Amino acid sequence: MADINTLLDLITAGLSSDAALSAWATIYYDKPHAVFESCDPRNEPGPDECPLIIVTADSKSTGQGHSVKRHVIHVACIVYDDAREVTLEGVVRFVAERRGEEMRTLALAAVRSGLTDDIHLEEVETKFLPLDEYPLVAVVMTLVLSQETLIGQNPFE
Amino acid sequence: MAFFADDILTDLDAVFYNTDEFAVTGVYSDGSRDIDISVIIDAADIRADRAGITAVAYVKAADVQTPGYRHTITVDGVTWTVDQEKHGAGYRNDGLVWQLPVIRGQRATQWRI
Repeated sequence: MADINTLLDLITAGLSSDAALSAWATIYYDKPHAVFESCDPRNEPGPDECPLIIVTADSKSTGQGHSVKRHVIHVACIVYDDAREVTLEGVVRFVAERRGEEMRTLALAAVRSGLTDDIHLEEVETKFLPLDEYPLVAVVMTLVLSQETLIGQNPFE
Repeated sequence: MAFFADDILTDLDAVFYNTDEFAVTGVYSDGSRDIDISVIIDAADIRADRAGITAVAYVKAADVQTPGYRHTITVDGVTWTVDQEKHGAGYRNDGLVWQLPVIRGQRATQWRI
């Protein structure tokens, strides 16, 4: 039965080894993506570490009163990009948010393919953060992962 | 007859950009070439925002004719990047000195939610 550390292992390993993510990062940023499990808030990553995915545990909900355990994990996809383009329709597009979303889509696919069958991705909430630290732009997923508590297994982990 | 403006021109190098007075030596790079300059990075304007450190760099127009976004100024191994001009106004220049917004040490903090 998966505990939070097992989930972090599954998710970070899947993200780090994902060929589609690596290819995407190489196309747009000439280097593979980086994956962090948690981060040092005293020395946060900068532009040189991007494109970057940071995976952090948020919460878990377990116990004898729960038939289903839930774990909440954040997956932040961060790019450093100030490029802009003009579309055929004449729209001026600052691409960083779009690149962040592309990265997020690939990251979600990598997460899903790495989960075992007994772990359900119950909910994915996504926040777009394109402005405050531009050109560092983040797209952050909050994943709710659930797993049935089976008889005989530890209901607390 | 000497005018105040003439005195300022003299003082620009002798006083303000004298590296024994207010300025420091640095290297200005536009990506294709490096220029040795004297520069004043205004400590009073150094502040932490946009998850980085911003300041104003005063660079002589005689040294750098056309400053640009993402050019760099390196002083004592620390590299500042020329930031975007605000509201399309162009970088400020009084005819003698550019006032360039610069930034360094940007950090991603959005992962903390």
